[in-house]
Amino acid sequence: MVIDLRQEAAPNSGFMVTLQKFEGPLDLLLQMIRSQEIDIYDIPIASVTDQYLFHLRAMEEMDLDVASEYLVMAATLIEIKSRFLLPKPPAPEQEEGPDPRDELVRRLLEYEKYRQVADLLHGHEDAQRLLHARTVELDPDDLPAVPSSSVTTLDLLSALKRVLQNVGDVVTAPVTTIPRQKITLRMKMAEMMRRVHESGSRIPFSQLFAAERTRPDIVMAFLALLELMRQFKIVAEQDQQFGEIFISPAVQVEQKALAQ
Amino acid sequence: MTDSSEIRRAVECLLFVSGAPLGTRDLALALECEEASVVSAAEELAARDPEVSGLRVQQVAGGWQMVTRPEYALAVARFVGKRAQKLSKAALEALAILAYNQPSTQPEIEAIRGVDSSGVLKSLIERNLVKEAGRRDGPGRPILYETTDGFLVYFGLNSLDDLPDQSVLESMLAETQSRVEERADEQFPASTDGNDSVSGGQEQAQGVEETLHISEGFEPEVVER
Repeated sequence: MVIDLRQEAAPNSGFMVTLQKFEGPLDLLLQMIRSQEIDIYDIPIASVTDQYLFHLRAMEEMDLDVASEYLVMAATLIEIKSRFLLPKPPAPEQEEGPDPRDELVRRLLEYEKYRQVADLLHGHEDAQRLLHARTVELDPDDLPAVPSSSVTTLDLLSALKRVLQNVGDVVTAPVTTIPRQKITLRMKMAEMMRRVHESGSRIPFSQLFAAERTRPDIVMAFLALLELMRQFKIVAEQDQQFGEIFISPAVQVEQKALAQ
Repeated sequence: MTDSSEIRRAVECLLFVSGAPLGTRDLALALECEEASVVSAAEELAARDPEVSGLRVQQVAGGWQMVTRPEYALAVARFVGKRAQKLSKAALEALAILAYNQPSTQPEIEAIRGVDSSGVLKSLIERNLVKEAGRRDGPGRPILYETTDGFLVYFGLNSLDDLPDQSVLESMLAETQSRVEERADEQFPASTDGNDSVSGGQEQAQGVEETLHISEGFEPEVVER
């Protein structure tokens, strides 16, 4: 966005200024410094402060939203400027305090460092935009995902479906009224952890659900499994396409990785 | 599968079908062959003569991906139409900071950028370039963010190591600075009155006059009519 203030501002002030959109106060300062070839380690604080304030006023006149960050920076600049203006006690020459501009320079340089990276990324972006990969959605019914060494939630879901299918008859057979049993996630998580640990090594997904008899049991057990995975207490692995998913304690996997 | 040229053709097939980058291990599992033969097959494909095919294989996000050659970008674009919007300057800045300091919190990113970054982070998450990475212990338990594999794919990087080292960045910075100073020197040759204005203990005491003096030379972006 480039706004030419000539029309609007000329009659009153006699000034003409080209206003750009800035990414923030640091961006504005850097552009001022770079366009005027100022030595960043020796910023002429008085004139830079004046110009900065002039920019702010121009932005306000344009009714642009001047974010509060700009005002904070203005205050910082004025504070640094005022410290230069204060008479200095005739201190011994060696004992120079830190330059009040140091912190500002550090921030500007830090910011500019990442601006360089941003430019670099921008270049990569441009180059990559010239390349196209296939984006056609694969038909999930006839083309299963390419075997992935990491198990996704979808894999877990289909494994759950298989378990639920097997249990179908058991659930529907007896018709009696049973008082609802309260199953909590916490309970199931503890149970799952115990079962995984008891298995010694890794335990197949289906076997993990062998003891579960009712639908709520299985659902809660599955939730517990997800929660344990989220907490990195257990790990799921699948060695081959459509293969069994194995659950093992996270610690064991770490040890295995260390051993390798 | 053991024959190397057969593996190469099969790798090509899988990369074609996938579209998204495929890891070496996934390819090896599918082809029932050694990972090493997958790597050499993919490398062969990546190095293939541009005359042979309009497609090429690139190594990205730790995997392999088949993409069209940049030479045919225009032709493809005419067919595909508009691509997603390019990232804003603010978004690139936030990604740059995050790439070197991950995981990181929103205030940490804002401290470097000097400006509110909540909107930027939100849109980066929506575009799957950034994701949440748990919370930092401590007051407020702020959310941590990190870049995704999608970030690597988007910028065609194989890993974060493809980005220049911090030390390289510092020297790039120093280079920019010295270029600026050189140009400034050309414009304003060192004063001939023998007054060394750079060093010396009196520099601080003279700070104000000096800075004012220097500033006279620079024209602000304001032109008086």
